[in-house]
Amino acid sequence: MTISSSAPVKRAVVQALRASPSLVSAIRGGIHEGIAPRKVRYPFITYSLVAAPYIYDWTGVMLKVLIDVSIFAENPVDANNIDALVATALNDAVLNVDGQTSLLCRRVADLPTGPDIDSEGKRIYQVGGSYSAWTDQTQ
Amino acid sequence: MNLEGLGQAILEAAAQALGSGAQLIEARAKRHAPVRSIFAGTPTAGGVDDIGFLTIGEAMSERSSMVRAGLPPRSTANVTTREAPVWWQERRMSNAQALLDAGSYMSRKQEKQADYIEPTPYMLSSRGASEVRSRRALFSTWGHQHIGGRLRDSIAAQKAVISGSGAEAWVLAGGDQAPYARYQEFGTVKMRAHPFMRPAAEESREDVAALVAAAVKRASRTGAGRAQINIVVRL
Repeated sequence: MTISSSAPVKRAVVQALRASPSLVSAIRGGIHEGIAPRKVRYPFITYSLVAAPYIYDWTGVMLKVLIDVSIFAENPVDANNIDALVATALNDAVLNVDGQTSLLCRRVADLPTGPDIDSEGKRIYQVGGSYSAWTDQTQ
Repeated sequence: MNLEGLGQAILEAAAQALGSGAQLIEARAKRHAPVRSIFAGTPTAGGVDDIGFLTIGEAMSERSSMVRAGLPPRSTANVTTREAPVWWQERRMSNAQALLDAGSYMSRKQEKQADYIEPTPYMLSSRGASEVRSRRALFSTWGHQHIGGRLRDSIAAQKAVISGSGAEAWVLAGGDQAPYARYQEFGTVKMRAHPFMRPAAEESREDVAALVAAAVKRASRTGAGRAQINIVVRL
């Protein structure tokens, strides 16, 4: 049995985010993995892989990918609005994952984060959620 | 037939297994917890998070490094009191200061110029020197002195508690000892996330369920003796 990694799932999540025109127009700083470069404009989105355990059963194997999607904005209203757009784009979305069959993608938690000060001294609001994507390793 | 005794036996067994599961998550979270390297050395293929943790005791395992770093004799390192005495903390700080005074830490320029630096237990990196100078990297638990690993040490599993018909066990991290734990877990605008609690929980989900299931299975056999069975025959 051939198994693949969580990389196609991450790619599919970004594809799903970019497929939402309202979300793309709302974020001026783009979508970044892990951390955004210093001079990026607000608001922007970062995503990072939290965990991706394989779940084996008698007939096959599933991959459960937990991804955090965070929104950084200069005011909390923008941050929350974009977070709602992200939730709309990803919750119950059918992801197009290469080599795997997308089973489920759901928002499973809000991220308990608050305002922060960036490197230029600006007050930045961070809002986000954790999304769980389940894929079957057979297509 | 009164099944209260049986139910209680199963619940107690399940709670005990849940506590074991919490300890499993604690161990895995400690493995995932990021530990900043303060000693000079090039990271190995295992990644930055896997290297660079040395307790004073480990550093003292080599006498040459102990002498070079000005560390105290081995016997005083194994203090068994919960809180290290003040004189020891002061002495520890003076020894850490010796690491700086000796001028043995590498400057950032030297680090950048070197293609590969052999990991050493006594030579601080430039960041390590900063961490020691500000005392952020120094802490002690149960009398053991550490340089680095404060977050990892703050992770602790609590005993499972039965409440009503359920049980819960908590694994805690951060607290007063490492209030920056949530920034490591979730990231900030200036720092990428280094999740350690949730990966541990995800990895352990099935193992904890299996532990509890096995405990319930055992208790349902052995706990049957605690069930009160009254047989009444009426003719």
